[in-house]
Order: sequence, then structure tokens, then C-alpha cells
Amino acid sequence: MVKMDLKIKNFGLVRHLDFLKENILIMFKLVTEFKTNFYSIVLERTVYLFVNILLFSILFNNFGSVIGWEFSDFILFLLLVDFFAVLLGIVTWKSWIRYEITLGGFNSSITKPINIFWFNYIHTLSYYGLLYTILTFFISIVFILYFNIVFMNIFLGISLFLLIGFFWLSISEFFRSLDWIMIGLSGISWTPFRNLNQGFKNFPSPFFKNFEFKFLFFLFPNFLIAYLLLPILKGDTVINLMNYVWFLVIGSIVLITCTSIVWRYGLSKYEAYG
Amino acid sequence: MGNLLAVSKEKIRVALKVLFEYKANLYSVFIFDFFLVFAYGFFYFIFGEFIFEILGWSNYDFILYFIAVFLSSKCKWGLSLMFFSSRLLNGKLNTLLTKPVNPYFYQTLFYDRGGSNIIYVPFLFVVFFIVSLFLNYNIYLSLISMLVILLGILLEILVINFLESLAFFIKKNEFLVNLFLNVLFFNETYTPKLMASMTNLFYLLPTSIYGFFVIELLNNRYDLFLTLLPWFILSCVVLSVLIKLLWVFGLKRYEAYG
Repeated sequence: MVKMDLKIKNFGLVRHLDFLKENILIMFKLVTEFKTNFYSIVLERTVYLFVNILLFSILFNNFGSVIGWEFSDFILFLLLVDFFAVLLGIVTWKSWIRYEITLGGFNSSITKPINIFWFNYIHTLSYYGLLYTILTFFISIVFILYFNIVFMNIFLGISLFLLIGFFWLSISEFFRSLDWIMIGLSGISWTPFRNLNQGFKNFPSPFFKNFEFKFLFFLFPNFLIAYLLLPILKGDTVINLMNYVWFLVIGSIVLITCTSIVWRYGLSKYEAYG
Repeated sequence: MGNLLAVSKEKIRVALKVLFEYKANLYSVFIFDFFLVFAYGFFYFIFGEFIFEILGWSNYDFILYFIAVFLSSKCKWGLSLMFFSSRLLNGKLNTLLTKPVNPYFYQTLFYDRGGSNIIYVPFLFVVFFIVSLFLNYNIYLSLISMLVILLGILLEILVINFLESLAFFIKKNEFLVNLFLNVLFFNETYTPKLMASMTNLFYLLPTSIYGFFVIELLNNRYDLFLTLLPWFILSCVVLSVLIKLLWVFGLKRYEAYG
């Protein structure tokens, strides 16, 4: 039986950064290598965006006045949510670790001179995610220039966007790690959670302005994007912004700690022969 | 046909054995669906406030609408050719061609799922029927509405299968299915009546049949559905013929080694 743990100190930060650099290079090479994928994604994103704008215009016609949003608010929200999904897709569009646990995939990780978690995290970067991100970025930038957003608000918006992204990554990694406790637990818990987040795309936060327990929704980035990010980009005042920032920072730290504990526990029990 | 029936029988028997053998799996399916129902139910509960008046539906209507949509989405994942294009690219279709059954039906019904959906889906239909009776809907209308749900599911599966079968001739066709599912999801969330402010085309989508029209039917409002019914049936026939043609010509040019 091979014992595993999460010791990062034995390998050094530089080696991990090198590994990350290599994987990013591989990802870019894959993007340029498969031309058919590239063209199909260009077509897909264009049609997808067009269809979504059409659908959001229907939403605006029916509920714009009820929730107090202009059509431009709907479009900006759509772009932000879409960009958020594809950007994080680079690191989150990968298989569950339950497959690696049941198939003994971690046996091969132990021979690598790198922390097992980081190896698992970095070597599966999605080049599809990168392609989607690049394309969505260029489409979004045209629209964002059209909205004439103040530079300071863009700066603040990007910071908050990254913070929400980091928070969401912490959540998703925590859910992924649950397979160490029980095989399949990640899927059972993550899918409804992800669907709730998806629901906040079709029902943006102003739909819930009269809902008393709004704080429960701060776990969902699509809610936070409409609730915090959109007002910032529009130049509106967000009351108690720093409270939300602290919530995101502390929440991320707690989740990362929990994830680390679960991984350590899982690896200490891992006995697969592959 | 005989082979397919024999395989179906075996698959169902194995599926039952697997379900009761691995109890954790069985419970996890129910737990998973419970949370999923909670997630969807929550949104409909909140959203209902905004559209009750527009649709003229009651709380009971919403509960049944929700069950019908959930039931259909289960069938969609369980009984369609979803992800067929990847099977074609990685050559897994080869292994199915060696089986003494029709490869199209075999993949639609059993591939990767071991037939467990064939047991689970009827269970959900029974739930729909019992709930509709419990909520005092007319028994005959409830039975007819179940047939309408089946029609909607059939049409949806045929459209998905048609788009997936294009993989024989188009290398990267997943986005067509994704786009279609995206529009369907929007339509089932907001119902075609809300979409009618822009276009009436949303009434023609399968989600309208097993969602919106089912509830309208249960409330004795079926004029529009009866007007569109011949078109729905015609669509099913045309799609079936197109899928048949795609498979006949597609299999002829299929050359993967796996």
C-alpha cells in the first residue's frame, strides 16, 4: 500500500509554477492545433449570444419595469455571467475525482514531483474553456465599450469579479473533494447547487428584492454579479460593499481550509491498486 | 424486433437487480432528485408571484407543471441519443454494431444507463397521476394529459436524436444540441405565453407540449393545442424519416476503427 499526503514543502513553489506554465502552453497549443474546434466554437458563441440576447429581450419586455432594469442592464448582466462561466471553465470543466479514485488514477500522481492536489488541478486545464474565454472576451469588450463605463468602476468591477470567481472556485473545489468522503457525493451535492446558480441567471437578483433571506443567495455568483457587480459598473452606490468583500474573502479561506482537510483525510485513506 | 424485445426484457431484469443490489446507488438517485426538485421548486415558488396573473394559473397548476417538466427532463436524459457525437468520434459505435439488435434503438434505450430509466420514468408518471388526482383534477383529463406529455417527450427526443445523428456528417455538432436545450430551458422556465410578446414560435417547441399545454388541458383550455396537434404529429413523422435516412446513409460512410 502506498501512503499519500499533501506535502507541498518538499517540492518548492518554482517547480509548481513551471508545471503551471507548461500546462498553459499546452493549452494554447491545443487551441491552435485543432482548427475545426476553433471554427465551430466561433460559430457556436456567435449564435449562442444572439439567441441569448433574443431571450433576454423577452425577459425585459415582460419584467423590465417590474424589476427596474433597462434593456442595457440585461445585456450587461448576460455578458458578465457568460464571461464568468467560461473563464472559470478553464479550471472547472473537468471530470470528477471519483473516477480517479475508483480507477486508481492517483497512483500515477504519486510518482510526480509535485503536490498531488495541484497536479490534479493544473494538468486538466480546459482548452475549450480558454477558447470560449478569448472569444467571449472580444465580443464582450465591444459591448462594454458601448456602455461607457467609468475607468475606476471597471477597475473596481474587475477586482470584485476576480474575488467572486475565487470564491466560486473554492466552493466548487470543496464540492469536488467530497468524493473523498463518499464516492458520488460531489455529484449529488454539486448538481442542485449548480442548477440554483443557473437559476439566478434566468431570475436575476432584483426578482428577489422582497425576499427576506437574501443572505442565503450570497453563495451564488450569478446572484452576486447582479446584486453587486452590475451596480458598481453602472456607477450606482452599493451599501456596505466592504461587508460583502469580507464575506467573500473569509468564505474562500474557510472553504479552502475545509478542502485541504478533506483531501488530507482522503489521501491518508486511499488504497487503490489501479 | 424480437431481438430488441428480448434484450429489453433482459436489460430491465438486470437493471432491477442492480438497483436493489447496490442500495447506496438507489438512495443516492432519490437524494439527488430530492435536492434537484428543491432547487427547481424554489425558483418556481419565487417566480410564481410574478406570473400567476399573466398565466391565470393556480398554485396547484404550478405544482403539476413542475412535475411534468421534471418528468420530461428525466426522460430526455435517459432515452435520447445525447452525447452520441462523442461515441462516434471515439469509435465506441463499433462495439454496438456487433450486437444483434438495431443499433439506433439499442443506444437510445440502453446505452450507458443499463435500463434503469425504464423503471424510473414509469414511476414518475404514476407520481404525476396520483398528484393530479389528489389535487382534484378531472381523472380523464389527467389520463389525456399523460398522453400529451408522452407526445411532448417523443417530439423532444426525436429533435435531439435528429441533431445528434447529424454527427455522421458534421464533425462538431454538439453546439446545435446545446443551443436547442438552451432555448428549451428558457421556454420551460417562462412558458410560451410570456414569449408570445415576441413570437408565437415558442408554442411549437416540445417543452410547450409537455409543460404549458398539459396544464392548459387540465384546465379545460385546449383549443390552441388541438389546432397545433396535427403539426406536432407531422413533425414526429418527418423527424423519424429524417433520422432513419441519416442512420442509413451515416452507417454506410462510418469507418471508425475505435
